[in-house]
Amino acid sequence: MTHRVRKSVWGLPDGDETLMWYERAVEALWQLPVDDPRGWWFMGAVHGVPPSFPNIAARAQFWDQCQHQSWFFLPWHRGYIAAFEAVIAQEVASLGGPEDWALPYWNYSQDLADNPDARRLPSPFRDQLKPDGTRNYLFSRRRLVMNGDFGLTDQIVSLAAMEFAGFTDTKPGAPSGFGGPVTGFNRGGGDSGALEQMPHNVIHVEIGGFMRDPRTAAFDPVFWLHHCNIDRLWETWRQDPLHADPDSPLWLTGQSFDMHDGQGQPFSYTAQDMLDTTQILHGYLYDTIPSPVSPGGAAPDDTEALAMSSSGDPDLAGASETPVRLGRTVTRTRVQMNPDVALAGPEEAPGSTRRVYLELQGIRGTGAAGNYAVLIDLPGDNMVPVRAGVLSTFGHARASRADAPHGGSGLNQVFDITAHAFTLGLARGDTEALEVLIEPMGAADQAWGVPPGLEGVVAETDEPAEVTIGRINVIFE
Amino acid sequence: MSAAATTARTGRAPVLSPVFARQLAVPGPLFTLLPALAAWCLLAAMPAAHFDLQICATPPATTAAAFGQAWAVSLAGLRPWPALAEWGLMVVAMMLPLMVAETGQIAARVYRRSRTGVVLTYLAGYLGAWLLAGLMVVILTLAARAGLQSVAGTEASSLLALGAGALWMINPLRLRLLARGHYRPVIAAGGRRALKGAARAGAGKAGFCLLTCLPLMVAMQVASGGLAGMALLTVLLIAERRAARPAPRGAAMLLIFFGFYSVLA
Repeated sequence: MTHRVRKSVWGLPDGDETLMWYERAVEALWQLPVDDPRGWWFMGAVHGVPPSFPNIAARAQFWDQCQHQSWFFLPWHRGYIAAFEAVIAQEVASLGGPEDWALPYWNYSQDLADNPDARRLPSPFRDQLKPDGTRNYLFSRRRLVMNGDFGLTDQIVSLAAMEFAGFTDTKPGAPSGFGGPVTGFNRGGGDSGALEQMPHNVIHVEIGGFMRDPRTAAFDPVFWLHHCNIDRLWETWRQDPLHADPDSPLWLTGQSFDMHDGQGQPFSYTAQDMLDTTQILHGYLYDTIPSPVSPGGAAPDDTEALAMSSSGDPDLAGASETPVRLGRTVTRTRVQMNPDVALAGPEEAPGSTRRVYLELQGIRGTGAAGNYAVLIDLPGDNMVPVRAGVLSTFGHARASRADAPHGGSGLNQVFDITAHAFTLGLARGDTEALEVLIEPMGAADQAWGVPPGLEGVVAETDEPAEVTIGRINVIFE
Repeated sequence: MSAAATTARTGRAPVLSPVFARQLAVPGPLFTLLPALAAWCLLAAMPAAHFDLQICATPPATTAAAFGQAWAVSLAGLRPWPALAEWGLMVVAMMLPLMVAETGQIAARVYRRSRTGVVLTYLAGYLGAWLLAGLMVVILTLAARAGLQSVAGTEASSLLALGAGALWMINPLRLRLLARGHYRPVIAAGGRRALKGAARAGAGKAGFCLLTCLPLMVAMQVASGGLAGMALLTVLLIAERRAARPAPRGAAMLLIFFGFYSVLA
């Protein structure tokens, strides 16, 4: 049996028709009614339901199902992308296109020496009209930029997540692993896994427009190429013999999800069903990955895996005293350090297996906010602040609602600042305070208008963008 | 000092596995699961419920008269302090196991030296609110039982009570309250502000728990579910909180099955 092969969108040869057929299929699916499971409207609402979107009887079972800040983030989205691909492929075939159509992926993390355009939005997505003057259905509401250049920096497309040895980690205050924290069915709220945080969340916000909010994101055709790339990165991570998905039955079979296949027929799946990509619906492979890892394959050596991640008991070493409301310029906050807590004695050199984390706890707010650069500094040391990471607000408004899974507790974000902590001398226990600077990133918040036909139906929230961090913690592990 | 460290020094075989002992020694489980276990033991050892009265009077001619008689019998048999003490044990036994994750989250975000104080203060705020509700629960239980028995008889009243509990279990309002109750408060990292915040957060958490769980507990009491009923309800409530996507219909059905079982047994 041959499987669909997902290829890099920037690697498609001149004259390739993959995106042309994608656009034609989107146009066809756009015409279907909102309650048709194969329709563009229905499939977008499976991820999130925009404000003012029409209602249907099957809403509770099929819509607003996306898993975020959860160890189900990767398997749920794999099933979702495969279902979408099946629908599009079916439509492409019925329009007379190739039978083996597969969704391409956007590898924005590709080395610029290999492809200087890697971080640019592929050109078929950029313009409102096609060369023949008709409407381009791959265009969507996004940040207003020139030549598809969103200014994605090295930091934004970083693949540091791939270095995480463990899929999940349940220690409060510590990063929750490659794939996300242990949860039940979770539409959002809490900690993101490393891959979800970067590049997933950060790219969503940088693209802007519909992509900036989980409730509207899947109505942008580029959403699917972005998630296809995230799925590819999971598959790549799984190829490393030191890496393994959770073997807990809670993850493997404890939670099932409902979706529709290419014919519009409902099906259910669990994380276990998502482990062999050749067995998911029509089956697929990636052009850069030799073969899928079979479920139950060789488990990593526990000793080595543990050696790559600290297993100590997290200890709060410092905290800000009041909530931090982010402004339009740099927001400075002082984190008071607890002198009783020291990570390492003077004899302990950098490179210790112990870790230092900066945790932003209870990120709440409204509207569609941007990404923020988070920097740390020692007050009065006359040194340039060092970069701790990127705070992404993707989903922060939804996670702040009282009816959200965590009652509106918002998001958490954890940065590993171990290297900086040793450089700054933070780990010795003789530092009184740490200054945290949080600065808005990216261009102004201007975006294209809503494409015709979506006005008032797929509309972004009109709430003002506000972000408040409940507390900033320094944690030693 | 952890159990594992003690075991290593004395050289004795570990009674608990080191991993489990380490998990139990942190403030969350230490101050929730162990008291709950003790409360379950005490409840099992107690001879009879102090407000779990059976009313076996001859049915009067009118419903009002029947209610009056049942109410009078209930009040005459009520011993307030033992009843409240039993309520306290029920709360500790049934509610503290629901607090393991919450107390763990709170303990992890305060300075180590403050963990015990903050977690105990949080639980004091939580249990305080529940205990204050105790008097109301006793009165509600007696009134509901007297009312149901006067109109439907003893056996049917159990089924009616658990049926009402099942309806509350699946009520959308309750599910919304349940989601709001998952709120994770941000409190200060240490000192007096942390204690104040913990007490307030504990009482606030109890508010949502009272709204979502208390009607179910009253229903089980009215149905004279006893220890088995309490255990069933505790398991259902724990499962509901762990699921994060509650599927309350199954739990509601179990409550109704339990009602039939207790009538037939």
